[in-house]
Amino acid sequence: MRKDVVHMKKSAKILVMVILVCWISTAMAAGSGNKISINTAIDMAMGNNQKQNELTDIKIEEYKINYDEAVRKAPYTSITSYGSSYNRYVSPIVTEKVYEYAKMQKEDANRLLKLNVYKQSLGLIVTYENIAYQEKLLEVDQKKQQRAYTSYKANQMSYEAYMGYEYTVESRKDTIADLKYGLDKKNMDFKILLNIPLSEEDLVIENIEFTYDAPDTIDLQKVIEETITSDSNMYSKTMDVKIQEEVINLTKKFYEDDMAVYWQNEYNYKNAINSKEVALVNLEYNIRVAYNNLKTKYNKIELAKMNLDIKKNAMDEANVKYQKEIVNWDSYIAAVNNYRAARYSFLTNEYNYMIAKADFDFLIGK
Amino acid sequence: MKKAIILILVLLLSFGFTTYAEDTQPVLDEVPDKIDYKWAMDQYSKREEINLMYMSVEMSLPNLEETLEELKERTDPIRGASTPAMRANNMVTMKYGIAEQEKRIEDLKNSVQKNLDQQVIGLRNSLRSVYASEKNVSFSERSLRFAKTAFDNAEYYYSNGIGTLSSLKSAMYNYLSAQVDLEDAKIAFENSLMSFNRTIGMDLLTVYKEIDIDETLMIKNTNNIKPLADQKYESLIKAKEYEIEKEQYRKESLESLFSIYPNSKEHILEELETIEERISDLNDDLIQMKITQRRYYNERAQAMIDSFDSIDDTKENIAELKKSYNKTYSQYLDKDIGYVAVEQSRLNIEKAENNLKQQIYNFNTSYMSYLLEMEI
Repeated sequence: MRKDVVHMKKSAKILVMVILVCWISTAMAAGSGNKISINTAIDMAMGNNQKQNELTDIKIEEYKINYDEAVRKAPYTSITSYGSSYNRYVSPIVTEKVYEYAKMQKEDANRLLKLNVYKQSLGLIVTYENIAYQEKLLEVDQKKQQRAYTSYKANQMSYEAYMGYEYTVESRKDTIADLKYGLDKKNMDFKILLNIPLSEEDLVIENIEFTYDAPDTIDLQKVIEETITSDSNMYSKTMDVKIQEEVINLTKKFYEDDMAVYWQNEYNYKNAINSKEVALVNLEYNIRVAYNNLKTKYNKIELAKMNLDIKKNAMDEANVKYQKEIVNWDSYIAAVNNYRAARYSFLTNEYNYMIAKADFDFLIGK
Repeated sequence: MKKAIILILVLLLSFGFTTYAEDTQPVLDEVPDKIDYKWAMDQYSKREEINLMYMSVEMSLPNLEETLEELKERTDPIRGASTPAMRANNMVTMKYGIAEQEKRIEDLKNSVQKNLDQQVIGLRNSLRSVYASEKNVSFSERSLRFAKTAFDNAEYYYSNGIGTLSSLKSAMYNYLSAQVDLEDAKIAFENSLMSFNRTIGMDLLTVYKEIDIDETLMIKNTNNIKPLADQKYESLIKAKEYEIEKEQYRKESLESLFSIYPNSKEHILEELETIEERISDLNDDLIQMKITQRRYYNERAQAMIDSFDSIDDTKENIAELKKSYNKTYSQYLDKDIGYVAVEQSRLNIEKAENNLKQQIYNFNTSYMSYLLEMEI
């Protein structure tokens, strides 16, 4: 009866998943071509990863049974030998660790998948922007080339000088071709990540407005303390100490201190304590370094923002002067290009910050 | 040879350095005002990992010693040998096994110390990184002051109608950029400090009043660099020749068994063929080694010599910078340039002198690493 209920619940879950996937696919097919939001991409990846999650769940279920069994048997197990005492006192902790750790690892794997989809989506957005930026530059280069051609034909420019303009256009086209080739590769990687057939049409990620807070809004000390209590690796190391503590207690009871097994278990206990200490320091170190990385990236945004402002002003001034014919088109377009470069630089700095923030959040278990 | 190298290392390490944690001194619980790599090494050696390494050695030794005793007691090559090849193998073990096992035991006993010796290089680099990033903070602070002055001037000129808005904005940008550089330098310093503290087992955010990397060059000339590489090369060749000699002895041992195992002639011949192939491969390796290793050790020695010589180039560069400073200062006295340019020029000299200091320290680190690599 209970099994049936569980089975029905599972079936319902799968049905909901199938409906969700179908809905997403339909929305993609019917809506604005194959344009999707980052959240939809994450949902797709999670939906398509359902089979893996189910396999993991089966393993977790098995660990749960082992744990329950170890706990159930423990009170009735004799304590007259090392082996039986181990089953009584250590096995329940070992099986508990395996069970709980497997659940945590499943969560970690899902969080990692979401993180990767998010990071790759942002990477795609920046690549679209870069291609668009380079195409704008190409337009300018081509216009310059046309003007140079006119000058060359009118014997106002040497052939070598004209070829310089042509070379600029060709190398810009190469850059764009390289970027598009890179985009193709990214699109393929993205499909692999989302677990969809490579033959499917490429997905286009909808542009997003980057929103973020300054890193100093984070209470770092609190974050470190919270992460220590929730981190799966720390849980594993803490349980290892608990296990080895029980083992050494039993060892002291059943073996003399000049026996190899005694030395080995004493070593294992000390090693477990040390590993936990090392893991603790490493976790704090990694969080602090990731936080510092956030600060660095944030400062770069501030700087890029100011640069953008300066370049915007220069462009506006150049525009006015160009309208009044005080400066020529070349000076004006140089200011426009500088502004475009600053705008793209600002965007990439924001992108770098968003990636750093996503990595930081992943590290602290978000 | 090994002892001689260790002696050289010990002598060189103690040459011209300030000592803080001598062996006879009690363990330091408090952070001294001035720390150097020896103090860092002392802290590192107190880490639990090192105790665990010693424990691991203690646990592994009995098995190795037991095997050694068994080897010493072995007098009959027939024992446990059901084939001529196994008997020949026993003969090889009886001739070479004891010395090899003794070496294994010796290596295991020295393994923790060897690990600590290797760690010195990483620790010195880590300490230098802390020092360099801290210096960088102070240089960035000064650059920020220059940028602030330039910004104040631009603001003054602009408000008095002399300067343009774009020059004001440009100065403002440079000022912000210098602020960001300083912030980045502080972050880089904190990161390298945390990395250093993590390695030596101190609290991550422990700060030190002064870091000592003041060192004189460990060697006065490069005379011993090439001979050390030559000796290392010779030892590698000898090791390969030893392998060949061992296989040769296996072959001779097996050949001597024809009369004892008349019915296994075919089996012995097959085995001999395998051994001859092995000897041939080893000889090929030896020829190859003579070319590749010779080239490697020559290049390695030359790189050390070049690194030593480049210190003189840096000294010349500093002399040039000083000349340039004098010129700038004269221009300043003639009111051709502003004081910021003089300050900037002075900062360049300080940076170059600081680089020289680090270059000497780095050379010493490389030289220590070289000695460890050339150890026989």
